[in-house]
Amino acid sequence: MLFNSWVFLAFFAITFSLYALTQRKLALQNLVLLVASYVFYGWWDWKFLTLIALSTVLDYVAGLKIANAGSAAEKKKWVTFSVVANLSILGVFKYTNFFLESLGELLAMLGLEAAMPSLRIVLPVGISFYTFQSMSYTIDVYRGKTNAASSLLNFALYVSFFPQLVAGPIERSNRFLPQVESPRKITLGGIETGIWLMLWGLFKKVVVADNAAAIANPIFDDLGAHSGAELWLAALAFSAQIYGDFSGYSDMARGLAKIMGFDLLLNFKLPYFATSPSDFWLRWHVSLSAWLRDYLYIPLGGNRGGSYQTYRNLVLTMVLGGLWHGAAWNFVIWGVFHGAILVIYRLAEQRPGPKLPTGKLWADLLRMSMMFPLTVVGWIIFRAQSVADLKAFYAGAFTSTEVDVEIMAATLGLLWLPVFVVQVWQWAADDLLAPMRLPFPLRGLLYGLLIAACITFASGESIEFIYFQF
Amino acid sequence: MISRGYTESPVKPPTVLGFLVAILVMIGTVLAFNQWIGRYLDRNGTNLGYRYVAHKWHVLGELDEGVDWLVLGDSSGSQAFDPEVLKAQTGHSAVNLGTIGNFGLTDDLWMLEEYLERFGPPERVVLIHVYDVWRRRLDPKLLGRIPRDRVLSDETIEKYDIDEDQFDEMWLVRYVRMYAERTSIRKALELTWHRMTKSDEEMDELRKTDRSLPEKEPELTDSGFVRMCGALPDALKRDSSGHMRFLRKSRARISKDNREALQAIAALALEHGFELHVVNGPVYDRLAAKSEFQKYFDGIVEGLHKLTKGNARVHIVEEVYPVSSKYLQNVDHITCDGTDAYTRWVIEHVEDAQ
Repeated sequence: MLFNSWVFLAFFAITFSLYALTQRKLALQNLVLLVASYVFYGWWDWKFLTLIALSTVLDYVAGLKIANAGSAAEKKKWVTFSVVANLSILGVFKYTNFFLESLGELLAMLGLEAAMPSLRIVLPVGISFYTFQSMSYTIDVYRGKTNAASSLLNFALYVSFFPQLVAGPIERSNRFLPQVESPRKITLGGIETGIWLMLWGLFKKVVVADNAAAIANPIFDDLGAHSGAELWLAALAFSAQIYGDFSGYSDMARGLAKIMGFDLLLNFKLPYFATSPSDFWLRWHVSLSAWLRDYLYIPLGGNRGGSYQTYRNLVLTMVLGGLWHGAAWNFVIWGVFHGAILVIYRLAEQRPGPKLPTGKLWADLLRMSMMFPLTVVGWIIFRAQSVADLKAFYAGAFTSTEVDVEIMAATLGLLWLPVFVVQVWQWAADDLLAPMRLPFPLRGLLYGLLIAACITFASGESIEFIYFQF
Repeated sequence: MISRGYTESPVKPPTVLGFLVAILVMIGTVLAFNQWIGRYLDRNGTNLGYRYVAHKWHVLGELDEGVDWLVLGDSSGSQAFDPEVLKAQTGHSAVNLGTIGNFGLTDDLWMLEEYLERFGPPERVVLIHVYDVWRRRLDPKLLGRIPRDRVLSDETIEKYDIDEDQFDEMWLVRYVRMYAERTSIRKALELTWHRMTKSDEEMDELRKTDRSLPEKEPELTDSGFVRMCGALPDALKRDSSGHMRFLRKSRARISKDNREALQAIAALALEHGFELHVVNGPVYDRLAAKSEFQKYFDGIVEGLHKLTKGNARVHIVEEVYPVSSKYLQNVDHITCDGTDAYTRWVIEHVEDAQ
């Protein structure tokens, strides 16, 4: 059930009506949301429900056991159980075939031919998101950062809340569980902010991302048949696609939640305005990068050791972050690439000698114009479906540019223009809700234009959100 | 470093009035955009069929007096019969209201009914359809483009057996053009871009690789006649192969929608006392010479005779007008250089029928 579908519109209308009707009975209202969330998730495949229910019960019990444990050892035992169980589920469903294939390749390289089985495992939608969210709860209970959930119903809703269930933002228990456990208010302000986020997200998804996909996909699907100019255009188109797709989803998720009185994490903060790799990760998929920082980078030692340990931890965190996105070597390489540029930037900052001044607009623009191409190079690695694809891209990337890409480039430019204008506005105002400060009639005009653009310029086919596969 | 764009500042809650104003402006903007897109499409849309429909109904609506010859039919006749030639040759007035083939005869009937109601009977009604239109069923979606209230009436829904999905499509085509004609909008924008950035020669080259771009821009005249100039040999070749494939595997037949519409038009001819002439549109001479074509066409003529048997007002022209490739844009669409001769041919056959 995609957010940009009529089925979802009907689903949300029914859910919201029931939600509003049960406004004074929190438990009942949460039950409405939980049932709706399970219907939403089961819409893909009802069999996946058992898995999310299993994760939920497992972490709920583990959370209670940790909270009520009499000793530190017992707490540790239960948190270890939770982490191992969650990672095992994720490992089985997401990484089994990858490891088997990689092992087969490794054995072949060593001259030991072995026919590795390829198991028919279906990857449940959004498993990486809810597993991380659920797992962070038990870790936080263990660390004493959050209380154990007051009921299984509330915890189940925390894990499965439909707006953010399949593609985040990955919420934290100390932030989101209290919202589940206490009454929410439906307010006009929440509704209007929700409308803005929904429309802006929808625009980014159906107008920008899906149309950019129509440019990028045919080229990436047959890399050998295209010229350098087309390949680079496809790389830019994919950069627009992945941003529009994922940030659009996040905005819509936040908008839906806002309408119901919830406040979800801000997941995208103008990532293509990043001035450095570390700034990029403060702006792109913020809920994941914060998760990786808190539950991986810092436990690994963060920057508390010497330079070498810091760089190792950075690269390791980024590699595992890459693998989180998918079980394929290109994601590992993508992680290595981002780890490497993080290290290089750190080294550059630490070296003596002249540096770009701080607090100057021109210097920031220069930094952005250096960071953006690096981001695009990263997306090429991300989009390539295999190492062979990646090689094919770079083999063709510097060949003839004589092919006419004018109309594709113009289309991409036109698609990106409104996003660019709004983002410059948000950046200049230093406020991601800057459009909501317009006078009411102008806001209405903006909303109307977004709706009209979504109706008129939506791509012909509805493309599933990229991040659903993670 | 200027660190910007990381946060959302708290938003002042809107007042109820302010919120309502925003919602009303939002709705108004969507409606105004849709209206504006409609006007843009009427002038620039790449779905020429829709533009013809809009133009022809507009011409009918703007008529302030009756004409001698009322020409109805599909696009083959629309760009082949020039009322000015008729006027020059015979002094008779005419209006050419031919639209597109996928309507079959349904909009012929509707236009005729409206005409009769406003002006009474003309001297003659000439129906110009190309041979393969007779078998086509009405595409109800197209009705949505007819700018008349009867389109969505219960009578229409019942008569043409329009189901819920078809009704929805009709409704979208009629009222939500920004959605229903998305492809046309995109193509029109693309075309505008090309026109701004490319020479005529480059445009011709581009059309060879992108067939979705309209080959030529029509001139829509006040008499309804659509003037299209410039032969298109490549398009003709492609279209001709398609017609041959069709003729090899198809038997002549007239669809239920067209049978009923023709009988209704024939009945109106009797009732109001005007002559009804059924004429085939121009056809590529090499196709017309094929035995498969002749066999199919004879089958259609036979069917038409059967349907209108006993009606002395109905006259069926049993020949086709063959056209050489240098006057064609495809198998049955003639260029402006050939319309004069075709119109004279029609006049001759219509007058001979007396």
